[in-house]
Amino acid sequence: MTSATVRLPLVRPSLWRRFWSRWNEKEGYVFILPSLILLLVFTFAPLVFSLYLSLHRWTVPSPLDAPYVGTANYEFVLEDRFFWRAMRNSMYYAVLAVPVGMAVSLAIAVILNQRLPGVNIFRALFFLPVISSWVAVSVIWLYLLEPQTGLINQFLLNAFKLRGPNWLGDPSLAMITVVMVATWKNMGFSMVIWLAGLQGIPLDLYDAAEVDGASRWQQFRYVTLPMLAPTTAFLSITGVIGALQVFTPIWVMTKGGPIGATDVIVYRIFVKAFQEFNFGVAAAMSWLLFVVIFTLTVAQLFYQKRHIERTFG
Amino acid sequence: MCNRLTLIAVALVALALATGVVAQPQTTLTVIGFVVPPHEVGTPLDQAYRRFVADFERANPGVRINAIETPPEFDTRLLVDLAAGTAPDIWAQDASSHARVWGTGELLDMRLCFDVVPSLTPDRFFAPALEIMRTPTGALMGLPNDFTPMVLFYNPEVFRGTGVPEPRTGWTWQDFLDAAQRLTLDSRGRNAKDPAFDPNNVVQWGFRVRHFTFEWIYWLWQNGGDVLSPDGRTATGYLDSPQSIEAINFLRDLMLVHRVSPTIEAQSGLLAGVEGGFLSVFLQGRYAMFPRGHWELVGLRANPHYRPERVSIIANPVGRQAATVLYQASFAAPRRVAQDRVKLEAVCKFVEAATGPGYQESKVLTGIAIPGNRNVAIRAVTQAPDPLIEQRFVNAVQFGRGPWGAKVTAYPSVETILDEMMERILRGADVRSTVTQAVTDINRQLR
Amino acid sequence: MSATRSLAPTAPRKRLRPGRIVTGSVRLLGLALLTALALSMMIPFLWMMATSLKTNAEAFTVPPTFLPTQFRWENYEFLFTRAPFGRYLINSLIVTGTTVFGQLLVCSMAAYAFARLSWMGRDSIFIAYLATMMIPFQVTLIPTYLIVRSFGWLDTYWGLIVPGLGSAYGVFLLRQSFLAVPRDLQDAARIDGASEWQIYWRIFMPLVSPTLATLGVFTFMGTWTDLLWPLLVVSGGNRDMRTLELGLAYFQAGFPGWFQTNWPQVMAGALVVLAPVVLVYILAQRYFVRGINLTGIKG
Repeated sequence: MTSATVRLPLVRPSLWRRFWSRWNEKEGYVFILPSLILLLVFTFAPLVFSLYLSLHRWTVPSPLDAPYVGTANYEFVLEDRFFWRAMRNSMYYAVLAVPVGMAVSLAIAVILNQRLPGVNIFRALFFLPVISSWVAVSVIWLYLLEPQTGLINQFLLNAFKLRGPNWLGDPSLAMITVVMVATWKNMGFSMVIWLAGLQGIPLDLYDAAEVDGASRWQQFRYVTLPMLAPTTAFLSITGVIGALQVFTPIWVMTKGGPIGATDVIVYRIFVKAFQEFNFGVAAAMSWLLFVVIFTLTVAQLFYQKRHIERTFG
Repeated sequence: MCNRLTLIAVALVALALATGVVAQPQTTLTVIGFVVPPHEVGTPLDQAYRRFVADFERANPGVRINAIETPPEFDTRLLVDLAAGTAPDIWAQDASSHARVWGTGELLDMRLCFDVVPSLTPDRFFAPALEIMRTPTGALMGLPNDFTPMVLFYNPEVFRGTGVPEPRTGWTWQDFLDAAQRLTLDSRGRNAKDPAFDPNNVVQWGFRVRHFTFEWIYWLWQNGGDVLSPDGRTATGYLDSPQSIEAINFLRDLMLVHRVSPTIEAQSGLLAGVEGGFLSVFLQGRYAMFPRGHWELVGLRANPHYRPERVSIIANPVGRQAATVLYQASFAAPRRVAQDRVKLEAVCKFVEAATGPGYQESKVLTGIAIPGNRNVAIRAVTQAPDPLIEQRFVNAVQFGRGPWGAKVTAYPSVETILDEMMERILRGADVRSTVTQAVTDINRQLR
Repeated sequence: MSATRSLAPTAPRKRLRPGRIVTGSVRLLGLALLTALALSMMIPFLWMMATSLKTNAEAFTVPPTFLPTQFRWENYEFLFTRAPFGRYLINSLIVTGTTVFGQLLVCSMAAYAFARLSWMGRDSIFIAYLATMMIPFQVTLIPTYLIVRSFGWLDTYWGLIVPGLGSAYGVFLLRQSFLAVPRDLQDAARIDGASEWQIYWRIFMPLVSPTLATLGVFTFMGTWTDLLWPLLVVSGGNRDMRTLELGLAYFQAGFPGWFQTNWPQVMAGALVVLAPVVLVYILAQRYFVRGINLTGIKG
């Protein structure tokens, strides 16, 4: 910090003057200070340390004396088929969970947006799983999804004479099951945001569409959906970021199994760090994950921006 | 004059008292374990812990014990704590993850304690259990608290009811397979040897094969195979050796060919809606045999379906040789306690007391494991609720060796690969190619 | 974000759409659909409640029965007498309450600086804030733990509270909200000679109270249900510092492998953990939804 203020004026003299100019509202520094200190101490410092870890072989007693291993940890990860499998699984999860979750919650939001009796109660009910702790939710679902006597399969058997599958025990079905539970858990959050988006659409647009003779579906397709574009962008970005970071339901319900079918990237990082005690490799993995999330977010923002500009000129 | 003398006398007495207090060194030991969670206060285990700690503090007035409940994810916490220099003073270290801990170079070589406390000698321990803690340089990175060999639990009632003679020590894989086949019955009473046997309607299973490495690794040893080379540096030529492949095939065939074990999916189905889980299922006679260690006796005896005549154990069937794995926990301490003579003495005395007769005898009562103290363990054979079971456990020790986790630092990573390899195989994957893949993956971890 | 800005003028909103009136069969259909969905959403919770009042044996009957034969309130009694859930509850209230108010203050100050003050380095620092939102918490977990430990904050309220006070997400959310306030208000106040702190505290804070409520509720929920951080900070030694969620985890882990977990008791514990969150949500629901409406997506 100090070196910057001393050295930089030599390079760009205007900086020093700009700082003291009356256009620079210096109260800003006071307002930002508490937050900035917290961010520096509890986010940036750990980040730097984590970056350091990823370039060293973790040792004790003093991690600061750890031998520098260059990019060895990163090379190990990039050649690790378990890392790539976890990446694939995470992508699979995201591709399933984000659209399904968004579609289901949009459908509910559209229904809730009609003036129906008891809307507030329904909205509160749909939101309940969101505020519940994942541990409690996962435990309950484990109990309900039990293949033989669990409530779900008992219901399928008695109501439809169907032999329910082994939801979490079948490698080809386990991830889909986790997605279903996650959709149940998270749906309420997207729903509230969709609702907010829906209620922000001016009624005049619908009146105009009705005058033009648009059907209800056409109104939805050509008025509602385009007007919801910012909401869609927000939900898909946060959705993808969240999906790539999913951990707790996997940890409680499947432990990454069966045979690695639900071994997602954050679970792999967790196993590397906390079960295999390989902090260097785990740190390298989390940095690669960060790169992926960052790239996806930027790409998605870029695409959405173009899309919105195309739609609205 | 008189007054002055009195004054001097008083001063002298005060000085003596003061030095007495000063000479009495004070130290506090932070110990993991020896305390129960709040809702278990008042149980016999709680009372045993309290008595031990109180007795120790009375015998060593300068030492205070700060007993801490074992936290979840203790192994990880410990590594970070060792790194930060704030590890507890004493804890019971699981042998299965010991290499990762002593590999940090931060543990106390317990041979030091043999000098500090002369009554603590190596010969009070079971040699095989003690040797697990020996590093290649000869150091002892822990002293055994308790241990158990893996054995076969079986239900004598089921054997009798099916007309199969109970196993005898020294039985072979062939004897085992034969018994398991005859003990597996379908709903019409046909056993797994019957050509008309219906594997989809089994009411009584001979055995339970699972993919967890800790339950099957010693089958490879019995057949002369292993997962890693003796120096722990490669899996090539060991996990994929003919002996290992043969053992893996034998286990796989128990489930997929001979049908004496339910499939992985069917196993969870058997547990559905059963209070008390697998142990209830076993005690109710739906399984004849399963592999496990001493600790399972605790759960079995606490189960509502427990009857003494429903539980017995036998050493594993012998392949080319007799072999089993010894799971063990040892008292360990950080190296830094040696910097403080008072603390070092306290630590060694605590370990001496905890491996001495008083505390070790409590293991006989709880049934958790074989006491690390040899004399206590031998005496326990006659004192235990079931002397025959205890005798067989002690007999099985001679064939035991330590887990790989006590030797190879990367073993936790190796184990996850092995678990998954076996799960694939038990779900029907090709044995040879799956093993080959696992060998490649393991070698990468060991590099 | 920049994508949404073009769509979302900072001007006060026009006539909003509260929903159109629908009639007849469509209305009935929607209602039926909603009821069915809401019911299926509720089953896991009802199941948990019912199980918490059963005996352990009853929790395992085949086929499963919903209602207990007799309500076993003992499960709850056990939690507060044998296991110190009362103490855990107090800890959770202290930690969560302080975190919520501390975070609202810290984040709103930073957000105000980002939204309403122009100072050198503002934009680059804001980008840094945004970037941290994308970092998986596993990356920073261990280093943060080591830092907190080096402060001597293990087993203290400090360690439980302070690292949770800063939140890039909270700053982002509040900044959006501050941006929506018309510029004239700030200028007028400045002309009147109000200090920047007075403008922030007297004028802007009341205006963004729905967003503050939203952030408060989010923070409350996140802090209340957090497990991993308290697990690291409160070492096993000091059971008096455990939060409810951590106490529940220990309680569940307190049944070692060879004892069957007492599910009714664990479910009762889960309910004790859940109840305050539900209560806060029911009370604050209105603010919560309105807050999202005003801020979350709209620039």
